[in-house]
Amino acid sequence: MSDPVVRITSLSKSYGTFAAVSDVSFEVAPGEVFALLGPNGAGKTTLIRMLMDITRPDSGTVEVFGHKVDGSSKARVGYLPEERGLYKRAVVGELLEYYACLKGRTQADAKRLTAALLERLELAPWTKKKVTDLSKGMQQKVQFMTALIGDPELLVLDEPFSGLDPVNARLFEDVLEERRRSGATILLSTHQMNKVEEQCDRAVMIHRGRRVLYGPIRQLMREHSDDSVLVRTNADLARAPGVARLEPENGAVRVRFAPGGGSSELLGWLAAQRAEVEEFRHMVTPLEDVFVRVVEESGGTAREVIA
Amino acid sequence: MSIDAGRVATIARREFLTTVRRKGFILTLILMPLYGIFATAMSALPAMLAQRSTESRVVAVVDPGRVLGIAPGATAVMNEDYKARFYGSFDEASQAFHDGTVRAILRIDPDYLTSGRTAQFRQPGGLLTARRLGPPYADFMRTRLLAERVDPAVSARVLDPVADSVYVATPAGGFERENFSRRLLLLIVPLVFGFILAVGIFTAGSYLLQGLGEEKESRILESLLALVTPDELLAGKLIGLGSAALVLVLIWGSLGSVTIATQAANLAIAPTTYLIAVFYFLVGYFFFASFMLGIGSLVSTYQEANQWAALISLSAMFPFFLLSAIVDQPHGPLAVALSIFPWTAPVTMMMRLPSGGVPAWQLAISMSLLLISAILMLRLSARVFRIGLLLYGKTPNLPEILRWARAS
Repeated sequence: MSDPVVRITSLSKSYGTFAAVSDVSFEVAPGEVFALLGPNGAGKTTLIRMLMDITRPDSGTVEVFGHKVDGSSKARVGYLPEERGLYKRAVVGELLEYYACLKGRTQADAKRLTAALLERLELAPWTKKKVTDLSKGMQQKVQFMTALIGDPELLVLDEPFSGLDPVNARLFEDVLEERRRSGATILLSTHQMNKVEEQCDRAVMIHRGRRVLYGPIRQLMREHSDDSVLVRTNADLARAPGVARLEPENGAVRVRFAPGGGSSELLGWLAAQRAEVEEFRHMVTPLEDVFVRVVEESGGTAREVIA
Repeated sequence: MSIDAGRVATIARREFLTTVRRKGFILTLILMPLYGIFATAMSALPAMLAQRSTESRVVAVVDPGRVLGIAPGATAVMNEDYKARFYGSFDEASQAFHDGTVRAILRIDPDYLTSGRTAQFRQPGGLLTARRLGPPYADFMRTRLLAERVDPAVSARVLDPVADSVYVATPAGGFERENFSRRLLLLIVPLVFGFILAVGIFTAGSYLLQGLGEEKESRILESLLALVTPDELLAGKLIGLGSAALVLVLIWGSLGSVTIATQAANLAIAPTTYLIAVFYFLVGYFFFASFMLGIGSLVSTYQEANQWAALISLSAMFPFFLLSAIVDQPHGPLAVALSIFPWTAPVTMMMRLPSGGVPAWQLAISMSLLLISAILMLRLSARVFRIGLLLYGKTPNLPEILRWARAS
């Protein structure tokens, strides 16, 4: 992996006796879409605030672009906090220009970037309107734009899809995909596991302030799946070696393996039998199930996940 | 913590523009001088009304004993407002009174010189104004009584026995002739100076607190603090709103100075007074504004911020409640103490300065103390600000704040 964009090392933060984040470490590589997962109250927002240099850690380090976070690196990061807020009386165009200027852009540059972004997010006709005159959905777009303005190299998005209607959610995803293709690194914290499966390369999951999962999404799903395959064949699977249990599923059979058994052995056996195989599919546990399982294994409850 | 001047300038520019574009700011800017004009006009109103009154300015005098030496049917001038018409009998005078030709009746006993008895007859009411606007009987009678019996030169001396000028001590150790209009201006000028300064400081301070309250309440701070450091935000806000307040003070100050210059050419306010005024404004502003920012970072709603702003402003306006004591004795112990204590120094010193003669050592102590307090306040607030900014919902208690201030 080339030099990470974000490097979090042994980060801890307590509030009184409550440990919000305990000894968490992870890295985010350039150009990847990285998910920060965890149930509510797991410490995600505290972690993000430390990453953004809003809250100081008790111990451990945060490096962004290879350096300790300071004023100069702030301009290269776009941040969408979970708690959204805009100046209600501000004019949309001026507000975005303000954020662009705070990211070190000149006034002329800020104007140009603002116009382009408003055009891309289909809000150009509202440039001169006040924030308070916009609908809730439009305000969410403006908030999203305050993170995107200035073409930051790193985007830190806390629950970017919460409260969005499907049309806007799709628009946000498209824009994020464009940013990713143009080389931006994206760290997003979300509860929507389907989005993580679709869009993220790697993830870290924290629970009760501690890291409980970390790695590439596919690998995490594989590691935590119960290793079964769905087979549609004319062979008598009951005779296959290493099979623990067979479960009929929509005309096919789900094969669960005994210790020592596995998909490659089964595939070899089917080939040796010269059986007709219509379907042979690895059944990977959805990330959401992995999430619930890990939370439960680490002493939490499903209620915590859903909350 | 490093401070990026560009970001501070961006924040200051936004704070300045947002403030000067506020309807409230523009209204304050225009209404305050108008209010001054209105208040002045109102104070002159009773006299103006009295002058325009259509009521008769003639008083009937019934003086059967000719004590005042004027025959019935004759008229005499009482003063610039009133005339006295002499009647032969009370019935005639009473008739004139009920006709409205005379305003009141003064009956003088024939043996007045021994009995001293007189009687006044007038319309009912006017308890408060009657004395002030009523006919000047006493002066008129004194003048007439003397005119009939005493040498005119002696009479003049008796009527105005100490007509010479009053001289007052100067700070240089000499005396100078007292000037009444100057005395009046010396009452008004400190009031205007102190008021402009206080309103300037507290208008900006209140906007500062309200702005911060809004940013906390509507959760803007978090996205802002991802872009700028708390110190940059603090500096930008102080500078931006301070500039807006300076605009207020300069405009009002110029208006006030022009008015004073046209009304009283003889009242020269030393140019250094203006320089000192700018110092007290700027340093006083930083002192109060940073205190307000510290408070603002601890409260969680716009409303709470507003209450604090009002409370702080009111406490610092305290010298106005002691205005008469300060203006009467600008170098008395109370005035000196209040002008040295940083919390009341800017307003009090502005009240004392125009009268001149504030000893240099007092100015030096007052200015240094204020400057030191402002720097300390700024540093303390910056620390509390850094930690308090993201605090929502719960206002911390004093021990917590002090712990933060030490820890950060």
